[in-house]
Amino acid sequence: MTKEKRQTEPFVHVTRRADMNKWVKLAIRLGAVLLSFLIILIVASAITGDGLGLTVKYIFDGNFATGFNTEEMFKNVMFLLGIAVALAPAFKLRFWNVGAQGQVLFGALCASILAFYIGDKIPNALLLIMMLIVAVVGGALWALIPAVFKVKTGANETLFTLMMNYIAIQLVACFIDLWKGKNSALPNFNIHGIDSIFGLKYGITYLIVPLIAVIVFVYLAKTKQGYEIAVVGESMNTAKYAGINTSKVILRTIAISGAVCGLIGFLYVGNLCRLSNTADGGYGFTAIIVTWASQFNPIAMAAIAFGIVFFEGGAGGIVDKHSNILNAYFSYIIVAIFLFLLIGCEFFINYRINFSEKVKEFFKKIFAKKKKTQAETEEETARPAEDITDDKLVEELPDDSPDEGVPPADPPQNGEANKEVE
Amino acid sequence: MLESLTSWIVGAVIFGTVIMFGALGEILTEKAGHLNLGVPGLMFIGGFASWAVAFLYESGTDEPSKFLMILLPLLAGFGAAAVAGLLYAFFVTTLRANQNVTGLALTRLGVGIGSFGGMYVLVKSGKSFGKAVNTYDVFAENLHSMFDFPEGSVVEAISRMLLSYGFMVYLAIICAVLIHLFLSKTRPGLNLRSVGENPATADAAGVNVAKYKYLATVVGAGVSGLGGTFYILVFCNGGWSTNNNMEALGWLAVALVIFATWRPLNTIWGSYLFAMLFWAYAYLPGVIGLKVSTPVNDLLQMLPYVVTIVVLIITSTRRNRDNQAPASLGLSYFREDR
Repeated sequence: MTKEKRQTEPFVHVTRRADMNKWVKLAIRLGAVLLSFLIILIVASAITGDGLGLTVKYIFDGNFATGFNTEEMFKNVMFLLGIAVALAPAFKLRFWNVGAQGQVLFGALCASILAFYIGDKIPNALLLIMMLIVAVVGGALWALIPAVFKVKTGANETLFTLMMNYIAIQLVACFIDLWKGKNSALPNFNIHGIDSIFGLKYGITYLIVPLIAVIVFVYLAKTKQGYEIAVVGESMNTAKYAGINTSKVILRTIAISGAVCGLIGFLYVGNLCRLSNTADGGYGFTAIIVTWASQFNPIAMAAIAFGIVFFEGGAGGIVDKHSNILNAYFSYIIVAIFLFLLIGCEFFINYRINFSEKVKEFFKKIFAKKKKTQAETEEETARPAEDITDDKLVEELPDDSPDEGVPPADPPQNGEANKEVE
Repeated sequence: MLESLTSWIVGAVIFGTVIMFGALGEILTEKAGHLNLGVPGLMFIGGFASWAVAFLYESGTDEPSKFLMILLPLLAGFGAAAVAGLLYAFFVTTLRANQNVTGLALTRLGVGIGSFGGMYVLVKSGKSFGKAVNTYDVFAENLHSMFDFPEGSVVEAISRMLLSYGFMVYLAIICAVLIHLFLSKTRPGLNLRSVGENPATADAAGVNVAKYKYLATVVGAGVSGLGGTFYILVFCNGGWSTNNNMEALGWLAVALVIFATWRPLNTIWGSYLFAMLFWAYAYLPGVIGLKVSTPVNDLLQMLPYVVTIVVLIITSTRRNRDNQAPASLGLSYFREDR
């Protein structure tokens, strides 16, 4: 009994690979995106009862039907990309900063405090610059709190930064309640926000976010500090032996990460002249997936951010047409499908799947049967299909390289395999 | 004062039970080395499935049976969340995807399915009001209402604090004890802990790592899902609403795991304490007889998170080996990487 058990070989055997052609990688990822689009179409159509074509139309309408939709989409891409860029240095360090939401909110709060108290007392341009500075510093400080404890005591940063989000949310709520007084909602600050340029309301944002993205990626890829981040991220011990001050690198990098988050917070307050608990646009968590899935490739990062916002807008388009049965949370499902496929496809890039001989035989058998039904010749019906596979099996046998872990004594196994075929 | 203190404790026990279920499931999952950040999503899915089943069952039958009204929502909540947990387990165990990322995606999926599904079921059933009234009555049945203590007496207060809850409150405590016994007294429990601490060693010792990871994650997800069941059917009086704070509750459950230092028994008092902190802003002013302004209220609502951070820092400084997270928490295991 036990002997028999030991000889069963797993059907699939997975090995790590690092040799994949970059075009194949790209093809796999694009395939995942296409597959997710297909699944989303099927799910959405099944729920709404529309045809596939109509659903496609709604998805595009949701993003491009009006100038407002399109602008909204590109603004969202920028905010999502901005936060994802902010997280890149931290993740390269393998520091799981899931506190982007809190860092953006705290940056926005710092800028708002300036706008609220001295907004009408100093020149507008000076005010905006000061708001920018305090937001960046605020975001950096907020991120530094968990980083300091990570360095000093080794406190788990994932959970620490997660908790910091909620503290920031409550802080913002506190100030909003303090400022709004008897009003039902917080009125806009009495300031002149960031000017629109090129006739675009978020013109400055379109300039700043890509610029920051380029700076951060050059910093990560081309500078000594960026290299230090990579070393510390790969192996803390290697970094220590190489004489890198790991604590310093961690604190510096997390401060940068938080500072960029703070900048995004400033862009929110500066553009809209108000403060809200959703200043991160709900992208604090989504950005984590964007950063991770992009593997620090800036173009991939922009593409994934675009994909998420596109599907979100598309879901919005579908919801608009069916507001009697759908609500805004429908987009969560749509985006989650996209994210899961994006996460799952990495497996096929990093690992090679080797099917065991048994499975190969099984497929061959099916394949042979298919051939048979396709051909449907007299000769073949005279000769049963089992014989064909049996012959093939015998031919295959000499090539059979025994897998690791399986005892070299093969004969009983082969006998078993033959029995199964018969 | 006694009155508001009693209400505070009673409210905290009910609210705490939601977090306790979530945290117990997460402890099982983390013991296998999986940091599942999908707890909010699991609770949403569990809550939605239970509510949908309860609502459809009682509005579809003239005389709903009490037994089925208890069994169906529990099975649905546990089962639906377990299926979602299976998705997570497949991604992180078989596909070796990053745990944080997969968990966050699962949260998103769960919140989506729950919030969207609730409305969808309501619309499809043609009703504008989605309360599973009879199921709530069954879930809220308690011993306290059978006694007739004089209003305001100490005996009445004690009876309320101990006996005024539906069966799920006690079920949560039983779950905590059972999981504790499983982890500390049984062979499979020991194996599970070894998988979370050092999967390579467990593998070498003949433990089927993948099997344990799958089972712990799926069962853990189901237990977390029961938190959602309790939230909708008891805390929300059996009524569905999209505007609820279940997501924040899910994160509180993740926080409670740290607070309880990965020990199931600690979640019993930890969850009630968390809930008392969470509701401090609503009850504390009444207890100490002060009026508190809204901004201060907002600050008071930070308490559970601040306490979690303090606990996180204290456990990390003490470096007591008994109070640490499982050593391989958050890492994928791949046999050939050894």
